[in-house]
Formats: sequence, C-alpha cells, structure tokens
Amino acid sequence: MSNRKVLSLKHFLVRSQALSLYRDIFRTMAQIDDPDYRTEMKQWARTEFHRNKKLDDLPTIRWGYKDSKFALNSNGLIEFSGSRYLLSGHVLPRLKEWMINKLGATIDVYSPSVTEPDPSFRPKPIINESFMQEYLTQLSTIEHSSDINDRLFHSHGHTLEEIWKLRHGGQFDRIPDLVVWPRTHQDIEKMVALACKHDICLIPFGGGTSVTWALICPTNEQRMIVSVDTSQMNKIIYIDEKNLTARIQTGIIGQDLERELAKRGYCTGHEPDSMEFSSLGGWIATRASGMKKNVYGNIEDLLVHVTMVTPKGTMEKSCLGPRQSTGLDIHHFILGSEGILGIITEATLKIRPLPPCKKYGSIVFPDFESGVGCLREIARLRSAPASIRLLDNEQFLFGQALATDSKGLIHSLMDNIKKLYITKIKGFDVNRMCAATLLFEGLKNDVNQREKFVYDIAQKYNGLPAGEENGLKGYTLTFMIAYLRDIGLDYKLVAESFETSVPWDRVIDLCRNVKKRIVDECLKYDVKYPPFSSCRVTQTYDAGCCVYFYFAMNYNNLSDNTDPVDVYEKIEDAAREEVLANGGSLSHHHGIGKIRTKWIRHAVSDLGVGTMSSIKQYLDPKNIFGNKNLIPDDKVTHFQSKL
Amino acid sequence: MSINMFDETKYDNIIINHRQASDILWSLKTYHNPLYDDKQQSPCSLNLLKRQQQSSPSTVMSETHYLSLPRKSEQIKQDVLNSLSLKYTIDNLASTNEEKVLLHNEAKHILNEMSHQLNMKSVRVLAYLFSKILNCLYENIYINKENLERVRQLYVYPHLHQRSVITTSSPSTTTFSSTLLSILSSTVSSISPKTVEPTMPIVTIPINFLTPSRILFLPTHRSYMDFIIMTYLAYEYNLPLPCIAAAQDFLGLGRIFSNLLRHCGAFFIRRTFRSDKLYWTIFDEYVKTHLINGDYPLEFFLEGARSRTLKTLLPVRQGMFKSCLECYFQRYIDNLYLIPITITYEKVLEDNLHSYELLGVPKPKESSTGLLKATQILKKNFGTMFVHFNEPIQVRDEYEQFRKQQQSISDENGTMKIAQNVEDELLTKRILRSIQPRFYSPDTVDPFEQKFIDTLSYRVVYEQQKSVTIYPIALLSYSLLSWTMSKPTLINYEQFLNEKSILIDHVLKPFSHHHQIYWSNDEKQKFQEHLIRLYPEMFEKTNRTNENLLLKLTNDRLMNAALLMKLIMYRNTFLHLLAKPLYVLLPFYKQFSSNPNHHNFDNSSTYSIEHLKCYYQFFINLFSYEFVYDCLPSSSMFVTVERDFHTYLNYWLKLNFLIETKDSVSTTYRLNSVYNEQVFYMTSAFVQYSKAYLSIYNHVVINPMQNGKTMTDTAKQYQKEFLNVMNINDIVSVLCSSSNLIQNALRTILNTEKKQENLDKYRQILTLLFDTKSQSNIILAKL
Repeated sequence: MSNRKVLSLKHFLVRSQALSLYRDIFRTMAQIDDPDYRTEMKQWARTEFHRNKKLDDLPTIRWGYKDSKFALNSNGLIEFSGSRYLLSGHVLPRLKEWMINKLGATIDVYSPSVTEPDPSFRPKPIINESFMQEYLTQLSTIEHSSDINDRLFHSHGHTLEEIWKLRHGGQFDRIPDLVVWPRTHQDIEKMVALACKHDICLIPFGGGTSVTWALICPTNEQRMIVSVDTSQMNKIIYIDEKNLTARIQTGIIGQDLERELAKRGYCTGHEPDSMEFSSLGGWIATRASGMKKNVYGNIEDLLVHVTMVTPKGTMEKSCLGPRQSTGLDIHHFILGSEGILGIITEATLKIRPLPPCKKYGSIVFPDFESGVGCLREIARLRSAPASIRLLDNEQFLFGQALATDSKGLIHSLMDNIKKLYITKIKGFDVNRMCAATLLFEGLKNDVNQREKFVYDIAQKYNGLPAGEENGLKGYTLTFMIAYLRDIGLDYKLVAESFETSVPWDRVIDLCRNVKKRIVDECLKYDVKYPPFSSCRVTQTYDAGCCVYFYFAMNYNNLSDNTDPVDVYEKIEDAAREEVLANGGSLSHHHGIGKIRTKWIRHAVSDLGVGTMSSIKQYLDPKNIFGNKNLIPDDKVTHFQSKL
Repeated sequence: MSINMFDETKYDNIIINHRQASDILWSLKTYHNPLYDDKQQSPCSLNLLKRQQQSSPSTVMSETHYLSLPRKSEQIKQDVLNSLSLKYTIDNLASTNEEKVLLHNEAKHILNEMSHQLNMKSVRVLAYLFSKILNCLYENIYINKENLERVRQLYVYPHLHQRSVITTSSPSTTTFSSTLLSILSSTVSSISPKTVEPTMPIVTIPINFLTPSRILFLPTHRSYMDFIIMTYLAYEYNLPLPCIAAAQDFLGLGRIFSNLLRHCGAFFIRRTFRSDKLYWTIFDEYVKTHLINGDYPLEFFLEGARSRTLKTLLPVRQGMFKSCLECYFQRYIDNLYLIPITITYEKVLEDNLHSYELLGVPKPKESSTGLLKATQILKKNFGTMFVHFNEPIQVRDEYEQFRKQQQSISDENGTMKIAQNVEDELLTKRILRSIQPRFYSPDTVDPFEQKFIDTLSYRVVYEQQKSVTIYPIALLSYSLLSWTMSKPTLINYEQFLNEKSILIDHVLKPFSHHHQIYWSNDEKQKFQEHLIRLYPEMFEKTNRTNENLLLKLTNDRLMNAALLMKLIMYRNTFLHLLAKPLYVLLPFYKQFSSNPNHHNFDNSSTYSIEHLKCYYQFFINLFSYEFVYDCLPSSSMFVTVERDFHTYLNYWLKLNFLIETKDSVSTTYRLNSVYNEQVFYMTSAFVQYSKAYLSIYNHVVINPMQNGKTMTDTAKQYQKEFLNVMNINDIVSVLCSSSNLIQNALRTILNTEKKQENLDKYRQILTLLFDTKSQSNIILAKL
C-alpha cells in the first residue's frame, strides 16, 4: 500500500481495495511452488488480515483497486496511478482540459468523500437469536462477520446513488445484519435450510458490482438479513478437456477464472467490462454479456449446466447434453433470476482453447451514421470480429483527451500528420467523426483474413483504419470508466452509464434522441453546465445491437434546495422513458434489479410478471430470498431519504 | 393606453424598411440559412458565418452541417421512391411484377406532380417581384420581432452557452490552488490567474450531435397572400425557407406560375385521397422525409382552406398534421416545434370573392387568366397586415403533459381503474409501436394519440386566434351590424366610439390578453378618409357639409347581401374573444331586447345558477364549430367549464350587470335593466348567430340526410332555400344564407349520436330563449 505523492486529502483506505488486495495475495501465493510453504503463507496472510481488519476502519467508497486511481499529480495534471493498466503511471495531460472545457469543471470546486462512515451510523443489527445459536453450533465452519464495515460493504452495488450515499457517510436505511462466507455447495444448502427454518432473509452477494440496486436491502425488511458472500467459492472443480467444459464454483471472479483456465491453455472468453471484479454467479443471475460474445457467446450460450439452491431444495438438470428439448428450459429461470429464487452455486461452462492470435484494430468514420451503417453491414455478413465497438463523437473526443504524455517528438509528429491527413485530405470533421475499436481472435490466418474483410467493408462506409494502438487504448478505456467517475465525483461531476438493445433500423434515431433528451432534461432542471451525453454501440447481433449511454453532468451551482442525485435520477428516468419510446429494451445485460422494476410490467407484460411471481411463489413461498428484485412492489421505496 | 393597444416598438415594419432601400439589391442580398453553411451559395456566406461566430460564439450550428444537406428536390424524390413504406405499399397493392412496375411509375408520376423544386434563384426573383407588389398593396406589414427571434434561436441552440459565464458561489480555499491556477491559466487563455478565482472560465461548447430543430410553421389561412408571406419573411430574416403544402387547384394556374410556386417551395397535394393507398403513402412519406432529415421546415394550413368567413375553420384538418406528429410518435425525430402564426389583414385581398362565395356563388377556378386579371388589385390599397409569430409549442412537452393530465383527470373521476386504463392503453400502444418496424405503420393512430392530436391541433388554432389584431373595420362592423339596417345607413361616429369602448372595456380587456387593437386615435375626418381609401366599395361620403359616411347599399339584392356579408366577415375576426363571457348574458335576451317603454317586470327572466350554467354550456356546445375556445369543448374539462363560468358570472355581478336575488329557497339572477341597451349591443353578434341557428334548425329535416348525400350537398340545398327568402334588412337572414354557417349548424347536430333528439332539444331551447313570439314561459325541464 504505497503512499503516492498526491493530495493527502485523498488517502482513504478503502475496504474494497483491501479485499481485492486480499484476493491478490492469495492469487500470488497460488504461484508458490512448495505446497507446505504455500499453506503456511496463506495461513499467515489470513491471520494477518483478520488481525488488521478492525484497524483500517474505513468505508468502501471507490471502484476497483486501491493503487489504481486518477488523481492530480504535483504538476496539477491528472495522472493514473498504479501499474495494472495500460495507462497506469501515465500522466494524461489533456484530460483535465477536457473536464474543464466539456463539463465546466473547476479545480477549486472540490467535493471530497468522507473519510469514514458516519460514526453515529451504527445501525443495530436485527439478530434472530435462535438462528444465531443454531448457526454457531452447526455451521461454525462457515466464516461470518457482523462487523459494521463488512455489513456496509455488502449493502450496496455501484450505481451513482449508492456511491453518492457512501461518499456522504454511508447511511443506508437498511444494511445486512450478518455476512457469511460459505465455501461449498453443501455449505449453501445448509445455510438455506437453516434460513428457511428460522425465516431469515438471504441476499446473495458475488462481486458486488451490481448497477441496478440489486444489493440494496429492502427498507421494510423486518427479518434478519444475511448477506451470502460467495467470494470463497472460487475454485474450478474440474476441467473436462474431452468435452471442453469446466465445472466451476460460482463465486469465482472473472479474471481469476480466465487466469486459472489460461494456465491449462483454455479460456471461457466471457469478458464483461466488470470482469476484474464480477463473479460467475452474478453473470448468470443477471444474464451478463461479454464483449467477445461474437466468438464465444453470451453467458446463456456458454452455460451447459447450472446448479441453484432454492428454499425448496436444489434445482438442476440431470444431463450435460448440449441442447435439450425438455419443456420450458429451467436454465432460463435461473439465468436472470437476480437472486430472488436462490443461490447459484456451481456451473458448467463451455471452454475454448486459448486463441493463438489476438489483434486489436480501429477504424475512424466521418460520422456516427456511417459507422452504424458499417457495423450493420458487418453484422449482416456475419463477419464480426470477436469484439467491435463504435464510439460516438463525444467519446471519440474523450478518448483523445485520455491520450498519455507524448513519447517523443517523432511520435507526436506522426500523430499530427495523421490528424492532418484525416481532417484536411479526407475531409473528416473533428466534431462529427467517430471511431470503432476492433478485437480479432483466433488462428493467425483467420484473423488476418477477417481483418482484411472488415477493413474492406469499412472502406465502403468511408472508414479509415486507424491502427492497433488506438484499438487497444479503446478497450482499456472500458476498464477505466469506473475510475473516472471517482475523480469526477471529487469535482462535483456525477456520471453514470446505462444500456439498452435495439433493432438496427432504430439505432441512429435512438442514439440521437436519447442523447438529446438528456441535454434537454438538463436544461429543464436548470443544470448550469452542458452535460456529457454520449453513447457507443458495444455489441452487434443479427437483428440489432446493444447501445451503451454515458451521461455526466456538473452539478455545481445547482440551485440550493435541489439534490443533485435527485435531479440526476429524474434525468436518467426521462432518458430511460425515451429509450423505451424509441423501441429500445429495458436492459441488455445490467438487469432489472430494483432500479427498473417500475418498467418491468411494460417490458414483459402483466402476464410475464405474473409468471415470474408464480415461479418465485413456488420455489420460495416464504420469500427467503427477499431482495425484492425484478418483481415490482409498490410499497417499497428504495432510497427513502433521497427526497 | 390600454395594454392591448398596438405597440409599434415591438414590431418590425418591413414595408417601411423596404421603401427606404432598393428592391433589386434586396433581392440580391446574402441569404444565410441558419442551418447550413451552404458553400455553393456564395463565398460571402462563409465570411458572414465567421463574422457571426466571432461576434457571438456558436450562434450558428455550423458544426452539425451535413455535407449532403439540405437535399436537392431530386434527392428528396429519390428518397421517397426508395422508402420502405412505399415499397411495402406497392408490394401489397401489386400481385405481379408488371403491376409493380406500373405502380412504381405511377408513384414517380405522382411525385413529379407533388414535389417542390425549391431553389434560391427563383426565390430571389419572386422576392424582387413581391417586394414591389407588397410595397404597392400595403401601407404597413408588421412582424413581431421578439418571437421571430425565438424561432431563429430554435435553430441555433444557444441555451447552454448563454449561461456559460457563472460566478462560483464559494471559491474553496485550497492550498494547492496557486499551482493549479497557473496551469489553468495556461489552458484557458485570456484569463489571468488573479481574476480566475471568482469567475468560471468561459465555456463555449459546441453540442455537435444535436440535430436541427424540426419546425412546423402553422399560419392562419385567409388569403392567397398567406402562401407567399412566410417564404418572403424567411428570406428577409434568414430563416430556412419552408416547404409549403398547397392544394392541387393551383396547378390550374398553368405551367409557368405553378412552377414558379414550386421553385419557391410549394408542393401540391390533392384535396381528398384518403382512400387512395398509393397516393397516401407517397404523401405521408414526402411529408415525413422533410421532417426526418430536418433540412427544410414545413408550412401548412391547419384550417385546410382559406377561411371565407375570416373566422377559424373548424374542425381542424388533421391529415398532414397527423403525418408530422407520427414522426414524433415513431421517434424518427426527438421533438417537434409548432409555430402558430397569426396573419391578419386590415383588408383581405379577396374579400369580395369570399363574400360572394359565402352566398353560394361558386369560386372561380384558379387560372392564369384569372391571375392576370387580378393584377388590377395592384391599384388598390390593402392597409396594414400583421404577421404575428406565436410562442413555439414543443410537441414532446405537450405530449408528456397530456399524458399526466389524462391520468389526473381519471384520478379526479375517483376511479383509479380508469387511470390504469389510460396508462395501459398508452403503454400497450407503445409496445405495438416498438414491436413493429416503422415502415409498417397502419395509417391510423391509436385512440390515445388521436385524442392528443385533437387537443393539440385545437390548441394550435386557439393560439393562432388568440393573438389576432383587431382593426377599426372589425369594431365598426360590430356597431353597424347591431344597428337596424335601413337605407341609407349612416355611420354615427360618436355612437360608434362609445360602443367601441363599451366592447373593449367590458369584454375584451378583462378576458383576453394576447390580441392587439390597431387603433390610432384619429380624428373623425381622418378615420373616414382611411375607411374610404381602403374600402371604397363599402362606404361612401354623404354630400352634406357635415360629412358622414354612408354604407354603400344599392338596389341589387345580392350586392347588398355581399356587402353585409363583408361586414359580418370583418366582425367575425374577433368574435371568439368575446364569446365565452357573453354566453352568460345571452339567456336574458328577451329582457334586454324588449322595448324599455313597455317595461314589464314580470316579463324579465330570472335564472338560478344551475340554469345559467346549463345555458352557458349549451352555447359552448352550440357554437363549438363557430368559435374557437381555449380548449376543446368535447374534451373532458368539467373543471374548466365550471371555473370559467364562475369567473364570468362573478365578473358580471361585480359590474352590476347581473343582480343576485336571494330568497329563502334559492338564489336567482336577473339582468339589471339599466344596462339593457349595452347588453343588447354587446351580445348583438351572438344573438344574431343564435337566431340564425334557430331558423336553420326550424328548417332542417333530419331524414333526407341519411340518403347518401354528403353534408355539403345538403348544406347547398338549404342555402338555396334560404337565399330565396333572404331579406337584407334582417342581418339574421343574411347570416342564414352563409354556406359556412349552415354547415357549422348542421355539423353541430350531425356529429352527435342522437341526431333527431339533439335537433329537437336545440330547437326547443333556442325557441324558448330567442323567439319573442313564443309565449312559452315554461321553465325548461331538462337541457
């Protein structure tokens, strides 16, 4: 935990980073060859952590790794610290300028996070004594904690509202009363049985990266709430090289899974943007989508078998057959169940041999419309590379702002020449042009062929190849977005992203209308600075694509009695209404959680919601998994203190 | 002066401006389209653009220009021909490939007939011509600057930039600010580190993805002049030139003239084509493509035709409006701006023709010879013209508000279930819209959207009408027509002035805020000269020394009728402003019309509040096609009716026009007989309309109308019958002969479910109130 030479104000010990450090240590230790020594080290680390747990008594306030963050360095420029990412350790000279020019941010307006949760905020846990008694006698092997920080850490996901609340003291209306860390499927079976016996509310917790309020405890829950953290269920049980499948415990974090598989020469290829922190169970429960789905498929395509523990027992299929016509597919109850039916404990996923060749690329287009045209054509010919993403002009410019410090005269000279070529000779308008980033994977020949094919199509749409480096940068940007929000929040900028999927013919209209709606709504609520309202197409399908919107606004100088988060939320609601009116879906992969339940009836019809409730009613009549996701409940407000 | 009096400082007078400058230079002036930096046009426009940008940062959205926009008219045609909905329609209509080719060719033909060929050269030629013509015809043309500027602003999206300079309320005192500031000042030039602390750097950000605002210009339609004036103004004020929907009748003008109109942006559509699927698709697509691409604003007349009566033509023609709104419903566009425009003429170019047409003389066909003949009007004087731009209406806001309103209305009705239904209805429809591809649009909108369109189109018409200009002729007509007609009718100037102020002070001023009265406090002499100059066919001077004006009544019955009709027309221009408050007084007709000498107290009618309210509502419904109100009469607005009624009642009570009598049982109201005369004058127009309706209803027989005859035919037949018995000494009988009035009266009863019942009911009530001969003093059982 190095102290960097940055603003001392910002030295917060953040629990989520401590936890990831903890995970990191174990990952490193796994590489120790000598098994005895390894066990010893693990033992030491674990005790060390437990000993120090109470010391760093600080809340979990930011995204991601502790050592990685954006901050102002001594020269007043923004620097991305750490060493994990491509940009790590680099100064981003243009970023601050961008924040100032685009969003009207100022350095002088500094709104730091609290350093620790409000000391007066120590909500007394609701303890079911008989449950605790039985738990301690029968399930003492399952680690548990009722420490305030553990409870707080498990009480939230990463929507703006939640982060905002944490930054302002973390006063959630209701937080879990106990956190448990089961290690096996059997542990969970026992946990659920015990919970049923004592009428306890269970909330499954995977990576904690939800952006749909799915982890928020219902305010009116009077029973004891136990958060079931699956992070210790992180083993690959077996790899079946004949069938190319792997049985995996669902608590495993995405990047761990990929790393472990890679050691054996395999991968799942499922890479959602949150893969550094999100868990397999979470992916299944929300119907996640990975950026390389064109080659490997989304989570529902990868899933061969899945086991879920419900209050009525364990549900699973009895066969590993690749496709089954056995009535309504129970996998599709489990996929997207968002923790209301049970806990997903183990899953069998397809795996693939690691691709021998991986190549990035990028294309610049004169405008967004031709970019979409090109993507549509590529999708029509079913020749999409592993990943293809189209950034709109705002994000393209933003990407430019993230350029690192120049690496020398020649480099910047080349950059300038390129820029001149595109704008002057090709006649691209800097304020209209946009870029696509590409990722090719597969055999070397295939990759080369595919690459040429894609660039040929792009040419028809006036696209110019813009080099591998830009493509790579584009993909790293993805992992950076969440960190960027943190520095934004420090300077009174709130930001959030949301996604939708939409048929091809409506893509351009939807993007334009939603972006404009955001700007118009900002005007309506008297936001004093122009917002950043931007989108990108992140996935292509045969019949449509997935669009991701980014929205940031500067809430500085908002009239005194308005709550920026409230304004922000109204704007986001309006934007969502606009998405729906434009023929976009309620969600492509984030899920419904609690944030979007008000629209679920319209999205899947009354009967659809009724069907979901009856499944819930059958599997979980006592509402043990009472996180109130998916199915609308008029009586509950999730953020009571907001207004 | 009164607030509603005309204030010249708020207006641009383009006639005065033009008289001071050269027409030819003006027609060659640099026209700058605010939407596009049209490089082909002239190198000057680029400089202009740069200059404008320097003077006021980013008032011009040059960042957004498409290289390919605005499209040429050929391109637009191609776009329509290649559109998916046309392909779908043709595929549906045709069974064989040959048929498809035939239909495709027909589509091409229709498009050629329809499309405009807007180009700057012709606009400049016409600009020159019309600059000359307008200078001849008009004394003044006033444009309200303020709202015109707002329309321009819609194109430049300035909102965020205007606020860009904001002082921070509390500059935080951080220790590191000095180093930061030095860096700040290097990035944000021209701000010294010393001064940066209290103020924000000036932020000028082009919002480059924003597309141009989609705008519909919706002017009133009284005269052919309406077609020209908007394009003329757009040219003058550097607005994008609109494409104007015109009726196909204009093609009768001959190739040269119709092409000239085409080149100035007019496109021609047939009058009725709802059943022609192919034509309808092409029309729909043609309208939509303009809005979707946003390269030209559209202009069309909601009333559908020139209103001969100079009143609004109701019901509103929604065809084209629907197509435009569908672009929004289908989210081809994010929002739509409606600009209601009120064009009022002191003297309408074709008022003569209008009056004859109302009396059943058929409209002359548009032809080139007719146009040449019309050149003689150049010798005449048409006084003043007002082009009043009203505030833009945002369709998106209106729609969201409408949704909320509908929900709250159903909430008020106490049944949550209805609210649920409204919501459900809307949402199921929305799902339908989102699960169908947009080319497959069944040409009907769902009931909820239809209701919205009804409300909105009515609202636009109201917005147009609320800001009318009231000219002296209108006020004079009001007085003249309230007097008993006899030959020769002398204008009593003093009485007129007196009555004018009664009308203005008692009704106009308290209840209407957007109109203006164009009245220069002239001497009698000047006033009379002005009238003679403008309306030589209506007025003449007496030969006596004390010069007075005479109404030019002759021995020709039809000519006299036309003259009276003209007075009625000019009076019509502002009747809608008076209607609602005066409805409260109308039920007292028998009292204020009776001869004061034979004053009989028993005869005076008294009403309870419920009765008055019923009558009030009765008149609102009766004249729902005659006068435009502030919201749709059929819409469920019990609240507003109630509220308005009480406002008016209390107002008349306060003025002591009505007297409240309380006894143990009930409260009754009666008219204060002191004001009989004033009330008689004020309500004269409405009494005449009521009586005209009564005589029509007495004449109407329901049965024949169901024998496949259209309403227009029926109306024509009645008109003939009324013309035969017309007596020019009785205004009511002249009114009865107006084709428009007969149609409106018929519509009122025919557009309801129980036709015969309604007819009887209306007849009964009108007889009771207005038939002085009928002695039936029975209290009406039910209304």
